[in-house]
This record gives sequence, C-alpha cells and structure tokens, in this order.
Amino acid sequence: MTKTVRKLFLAWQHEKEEQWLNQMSASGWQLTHPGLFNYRFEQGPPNQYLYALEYINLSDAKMKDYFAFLEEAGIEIIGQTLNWVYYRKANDGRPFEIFSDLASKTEHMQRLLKIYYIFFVLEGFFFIDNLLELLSGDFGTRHIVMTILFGLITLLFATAIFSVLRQIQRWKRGGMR
Amino acid sequence: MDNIVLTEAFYYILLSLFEPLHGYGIMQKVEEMSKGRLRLAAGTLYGALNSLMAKDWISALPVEDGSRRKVYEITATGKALVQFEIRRLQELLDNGLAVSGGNQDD
Repeated sequence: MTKTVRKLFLAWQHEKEEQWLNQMSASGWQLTHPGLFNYRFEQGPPNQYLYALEYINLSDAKMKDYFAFLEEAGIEIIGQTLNWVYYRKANDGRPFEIFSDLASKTEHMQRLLKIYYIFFVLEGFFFIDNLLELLSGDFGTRHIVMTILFGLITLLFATAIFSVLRQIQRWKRGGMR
Repeated sequence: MDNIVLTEAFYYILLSLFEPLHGYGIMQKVEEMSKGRLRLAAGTLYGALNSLMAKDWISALPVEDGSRRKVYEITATGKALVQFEIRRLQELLDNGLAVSGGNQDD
C-alpha cells in the first residue's frame, strides 16, 4: 500500500524534514519518492529505514565518486530535488547522519549560505532600486509592486540566512565539536 | 609542522591508514580505536579524506580492477606529522599527570 503526503519544508528546515521522515518510518511508512511538495510512501516494517538529506553542488563526476563512497557505508540514494539528495540506510539501531562533527556540518550549511548571500544581495539590489524610484516621486504601480515583491523576497533570504546562522550557533552552544 | 594541531578525527584517520584501508574500514577502525567514542559519519569522512589528500598526508592507491572501492594509505609526510603530534600529546599528558598527579578523586 502506498500513500502521498503533501508537505512543504523550506531549505533550512532540513533537520525537521529528516525528523519527519524518520517519524513516518517509525509509523511504518517508508519514503520511496521525495518531491518538492509530494512525498510518496510505501507501507513497510516500522523503523525499517532511517533517512537523511544533503545539499550537494558538485560536478557529476565528483557526485558519482561521492555516492560510490556512501554506498560502501550502506547508504542508498532514493531521490533528488533541487540539489537536495535524499538518502536512506537500513536501521541498525544507531542514529543515521551524514555529518558527525561541527566542521563538516558547518561546511554543509556554508553551501546553502553561499547561494543565499548571492540572492540576498541581488534581490536587495532590486528592492532598493525600486524603492529609490518610489522615493524620487515615481509612484507608478510597477514600482510599488516591485518594491513590495523584492522587499518580501529579500526578507525571505534574510530569514534563510539568519536561520542557518542560528542553527550553527545552536550546534556550537550545544557543545558539538 | 610547528603550528599544526590535528583534530581527533584527523588524528585517528591518519593512524588507521598506517595500513591501506578503504572508506568503510576507516570508519570501523576509528570507532574501534576510540572505543566507540568517535563515530565518523560517511559525509564527514569523505570530506576529511579529501582534505588529507589535498595536504598530501594520505594518498589514494590505484584501484584494483573489478573493485570500485578506493583504498587510502598514509604518506611519509603524514607519518612525520603523526610523530610530531604524538610528541605534542605526550607533553600535554606528562604535564597533566605531573601537576594533577593523575588523581581523579576530588
């Protein structure tokens, strides 16, 4: 028996997403197809698999090499969406994670931050550009709409950056090394 | 080599590569040596191995045909680094024992 669940996780909520997938696993639902909003599950023994996510920005050749390495450790790739790779591993009673120390977990987050910073600056530029048009007296609908739109998008990326940085702080404060 | 301080993970990975070993073997060896205290996750290990190769402290051996598994081994530079690190740790240990007397009750 299969079922599809619609859920939205924003990029920086990947740990919550992993927790959710593992909770589904505990209820006997194993992920077969991850998607942007639609997750397909198949009924199976509770806790059969554990799941993890990673944001990957590598060339195809390097990715192949990396996946071959992961396979050695019993890690399977079950899908990819927008540079996010979904892994599963047969549950051996131990927590499943791709990164086990602060340095590598931080490096993983840096991959996201790089993209966020670029977009934040870009969208921020468009926001300010349109805002300046407004402030210089041009109250055309276009500039009002664009100011609001780019303002919101800039805010979104600012939130993303803030969330990731806060996550890293939490790890450090939690004593992770 | 003066100011290089190895993380525990790097130190144990180098130690486990005094004999050629493949990725999963390294994970097991490190866990065994640290009595379960240090468990390297696959992504962390992969990044560490690439770092260590870039510094030429370890090298990847040519793969045997049929086997897709890469095997790694420590280099001469890596071995010298380990020796240096052991001397550093020994100094820390000696001073710690001398000052605190190794006394764990207090």
